[in-house]
Amino acid sequence: MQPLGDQAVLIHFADENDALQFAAVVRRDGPPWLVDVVQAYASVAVFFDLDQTGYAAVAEHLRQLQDALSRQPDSSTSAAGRLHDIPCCYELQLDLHRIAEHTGLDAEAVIRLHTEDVYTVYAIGFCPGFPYLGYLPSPLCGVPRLTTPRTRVEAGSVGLTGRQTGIYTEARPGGWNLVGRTPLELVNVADGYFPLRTGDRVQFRRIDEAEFRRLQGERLA
Amino acid sequence: MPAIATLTILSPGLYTLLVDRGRPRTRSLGVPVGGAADAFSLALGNALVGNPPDAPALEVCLSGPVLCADEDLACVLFGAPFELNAGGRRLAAGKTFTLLAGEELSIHGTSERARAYLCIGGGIDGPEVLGSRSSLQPVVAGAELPCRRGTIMSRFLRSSFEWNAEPGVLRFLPGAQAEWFSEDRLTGQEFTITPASNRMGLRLHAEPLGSSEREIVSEPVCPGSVQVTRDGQCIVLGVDGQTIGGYPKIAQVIAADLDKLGQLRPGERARFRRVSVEEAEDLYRRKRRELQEWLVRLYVAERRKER
Repeated sequence: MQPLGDQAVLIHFADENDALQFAAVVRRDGPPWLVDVVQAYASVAVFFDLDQTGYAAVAEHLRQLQDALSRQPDSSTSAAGRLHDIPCCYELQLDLHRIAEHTGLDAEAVIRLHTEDVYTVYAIGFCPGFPYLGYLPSPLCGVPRLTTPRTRVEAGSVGLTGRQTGIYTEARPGGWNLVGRTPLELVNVADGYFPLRTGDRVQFRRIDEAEFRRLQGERLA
Repeated sequence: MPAIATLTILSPGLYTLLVDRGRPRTRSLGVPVGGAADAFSLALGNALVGNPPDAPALEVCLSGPVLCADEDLACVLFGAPFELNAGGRRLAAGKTFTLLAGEELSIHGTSERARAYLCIGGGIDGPEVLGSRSSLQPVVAGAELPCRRGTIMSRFLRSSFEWNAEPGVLRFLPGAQAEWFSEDRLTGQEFTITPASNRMGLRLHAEPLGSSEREIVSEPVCPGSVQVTRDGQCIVLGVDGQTIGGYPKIAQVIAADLDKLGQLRPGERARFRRVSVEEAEDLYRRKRRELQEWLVRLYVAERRKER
């Protein structure tokens, strides 16, 4: 537990699940000075209102929540994340060849492995609503970022690098290897539409180009 | 019933943005806090024209816009000392004025600092997104912003405050990976603000702080986080900065000094000075008190004038 300046307390946990659980506990506890809880992988930042409290009081409160959690591990929050089925068209890829080359797998095997596992949203960031999903099955791990990032990656593009996969929720420059594309709208900032949250689970489902066109612009069910 | 007026952008300037206090509760969605880069100036500018401190206003940066309205407007430009004129009249930053219907208001450049706020009595309207009217995109030529008709007596507030006695000194607490670096390197030299700086972050240049091949797994960051990139240079995150990051953080600028980040301009120099958590909290409270005292004075003066 350490200060993230005088605006937040930053806590590192042993693993991603502990961090998820703790973030859920703090949100549910909802003290009046709470401004936001941001989780990324095994770390959690708890932002507080400086007009109402200070670092020492917040750190003490969080320590008590941590103690309570360690005495009685919260089984309800570990399963609290929603499961999302996200259609992905692997024909609309740009880097399948590169991924196949780096992993030594053929394209079909890459697609099969990518759709096989259920991923967890370990962080949201980079751009509004961008879910960092982990972790890839080991044969798919270790593909480095593109040497020269693309100046524009279209919204819906599904990328992977290292141990992670993720979805570009808005068009952005980006350096991940693009394995496919989802037709769904996964973020609408103006509408406050953010269906994916940290702790949710995601599984990709293979669709063809006709299905992609049919679903284009629809929202996550 | 308040009369509706329209403020038209004739030329947008370098980066002119509708801002209020931003969105402190959307970081977990990956949406930056946003809002005024210098909230202290926004609050006082608003108070000068009788608005609540957080009312939406236009943030202008280094080179301002040209605008005109179809009705008289009660205005002030508060913050950096931009040059401005309307019709043939030369106006002054920090001094309220009535922009007459049809008159062209030109906000030029500023010899020091970087940003100021064009506040209009009754506020400026814009779509609310996630609880804030701060726009995610700068204004463009031809944009029409709804506001309120009004006139105002001339009043002036100088832009010099106790909390900001040293605008180029950024007070900090150690960052999460501070022990990876030598603190002397951070506190013992001056840093130059480079032209690649914007609302997302200030890119600083100095003798490298030492390069680290080590990477961290992305963790939460916030405005004021001082990240060290692979080449040993620093990026200080601004109000539009990302919400999580994978660069090691050597320091975290304290809340009381975040408004300074919005006023540092390319070519200018800054220094870092370490404080304790207790000092940081005390500096925040003192600044808050100074703001409240000014707000009270300005609102009281406003009411006397009305009587």
